Amino acid sequence: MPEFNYAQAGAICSGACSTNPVLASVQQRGSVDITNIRKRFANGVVALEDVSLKIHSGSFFTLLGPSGCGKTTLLRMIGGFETIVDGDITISGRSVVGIPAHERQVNTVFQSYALFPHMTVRENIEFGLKMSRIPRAERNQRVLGMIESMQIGEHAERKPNQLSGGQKQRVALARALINEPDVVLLDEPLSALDAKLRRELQLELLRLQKKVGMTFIFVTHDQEEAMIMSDHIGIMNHGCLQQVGRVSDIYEHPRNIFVARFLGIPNIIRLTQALPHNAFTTPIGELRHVPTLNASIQHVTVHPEDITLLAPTDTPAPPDTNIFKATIKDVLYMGAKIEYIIDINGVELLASTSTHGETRWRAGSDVTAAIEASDIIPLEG
Amino acid sequence: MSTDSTRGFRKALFSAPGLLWISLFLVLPILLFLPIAFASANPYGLPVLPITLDAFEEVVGFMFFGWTPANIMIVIRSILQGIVTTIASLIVAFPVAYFISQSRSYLKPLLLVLIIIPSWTNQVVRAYAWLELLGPNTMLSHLAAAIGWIQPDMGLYPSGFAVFIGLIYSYLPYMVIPIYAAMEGMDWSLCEAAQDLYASPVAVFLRIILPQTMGGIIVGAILVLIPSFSNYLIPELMGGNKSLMLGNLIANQFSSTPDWPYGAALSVVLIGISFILLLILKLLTRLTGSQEGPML
Repeated sequence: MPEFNYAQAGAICSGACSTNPVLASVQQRGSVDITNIRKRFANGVVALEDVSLKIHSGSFFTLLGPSGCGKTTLLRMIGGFETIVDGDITISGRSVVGIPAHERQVNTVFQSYALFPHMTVRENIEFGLKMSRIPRAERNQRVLGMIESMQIGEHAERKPNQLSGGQKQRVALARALINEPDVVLLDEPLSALDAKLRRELQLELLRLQKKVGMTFIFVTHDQEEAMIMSDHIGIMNHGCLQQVGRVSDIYEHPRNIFVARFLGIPNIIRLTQALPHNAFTTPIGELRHVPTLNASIQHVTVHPEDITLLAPTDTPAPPDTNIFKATIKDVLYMGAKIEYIIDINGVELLASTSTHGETRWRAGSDVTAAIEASDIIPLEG
Repeated sequence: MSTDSTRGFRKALFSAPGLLWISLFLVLPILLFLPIAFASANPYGLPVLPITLDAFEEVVGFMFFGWTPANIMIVIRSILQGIVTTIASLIVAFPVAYFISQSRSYLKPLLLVLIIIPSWTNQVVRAYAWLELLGPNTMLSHLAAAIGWIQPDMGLYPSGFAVFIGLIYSYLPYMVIPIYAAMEGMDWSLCEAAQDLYASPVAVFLRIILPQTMGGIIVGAILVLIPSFSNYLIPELMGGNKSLMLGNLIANQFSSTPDWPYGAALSVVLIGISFILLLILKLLTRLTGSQEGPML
């Protein structure tokens, strides 16, 4: 396993080192810059529309989106399996336009693993080293080390068709990581596994990335998976980047309706008519203290956990808080939290509270729902 | 409710037609001419008693005037011709099969049909078609004469070259189809994975494509090698006297210079060599550890 931790080195070298070419290149190693990428396929389908993105060295970056959004196409362009005609991609500071896949310092874990069926696990793992003409002694040493750390020693002489899904995934990872590339690309590597194994491997991957410090670019359509594993997420739809940022930033401040819906944030409220003093008419009633940044905002949303449920009360609303009369329609007990589908003025919203120490409401009860101004999230589009 | 005996019965039933065919058209004929190989030849070349090994002696080369290597040469030439044909058709078939497998799906059946249809035509007719192309006053002959390969006013046939062309043309479909089938069953993402792991295009071909299609290659080799080394028609029509092959030699023993026991003995040798070649190819399958060929 590599001793050199790129992320740490990158952190040390930020800022002041940018004038020193050696240290600056260390900082850049494994960084990916995507500039104005457009991709159109031969059959006329536009896969990517002007995508620009900066992925920091050593980070775990996830491209998230529904099928057909272009995330896999973008990943393949970074890997060298799709040509770059319009736009630029630089890896570790150098442009890779026109550079074929076998000359890029990038390795991929494919969705179907693509393990070579006519070779043993060991031969699969050492393939990249062999192609790079690493001498046999060093090869054997590195392969042994990798097999040990991935804990696949007992399978080393087996063929891929004798392995389970999880084991194949480990071999595919070993095969990629052993080359110590600048960037590791992972194309939905967990989608073929059952839920329990998936959760296990998500954690393993997360820990592994922190340990080796290489840049991981992960593609998935599962928002939960993306949020668990990543430092940063780029959400895509129809070939366009919808929002990029830290996981917490994206979840707490989704930029548009698509992002909110995709992250599973319900409660998208349409602003039907503007009223004076930052208030709006909405289907649930009058919403006041709405923080709108510009006049084109037509929807807002609130996280379920930010809707507070109180006993019905007639006391006036505290400043910056909206109060609505609501009825509990459904109670969904999820174990760690309880979700309530509440009815405000005929519109259904989702509120959730933790199971611990909170009042539990019964279906059919009348409650007061409170939404604070700071919890209202404006959405574009 | 299928018991073991029912299953066994069903197995027998399904294999019966094939077994019948092989018995009738392979085993029976061999059983018929085996005795002839051990007979003596009368002045008209027909088999008579007494039993003798003279025919086999002739096969090995002990002719009227002592030992000549002529027969051995013919056998070796035939096997070499077969091997060369196999390798050449492999080289031609591989890109063709690749092209077809990478074509749009609506084109594939059409391309396959274009490859297969010639083999529905009689081999004689196909051979004559080539004779037209290789004759003395054709473009190809003029070209060959211009570069000094042949004398002017001579055709490219009869010659070993013509036999070479004729054989490859006849058996090319049998090489294309198995290789195409192997490619269809191949996981092409393996090539991407290999490239991802720094393999140059040559390395991808040698280490991924070749091993993965090896099953198809060997099936194609069997289907081309065995018929082409023992071919009678092509060397007969296109070869002339200098390129006598085993098939022609055998045919002569039953037509122009009758000597049935000799012919039968040569046939035994031919069958024997076919089996040996088949065994060698089967061994290759195991050695290369190829995935179960689609037809093996």
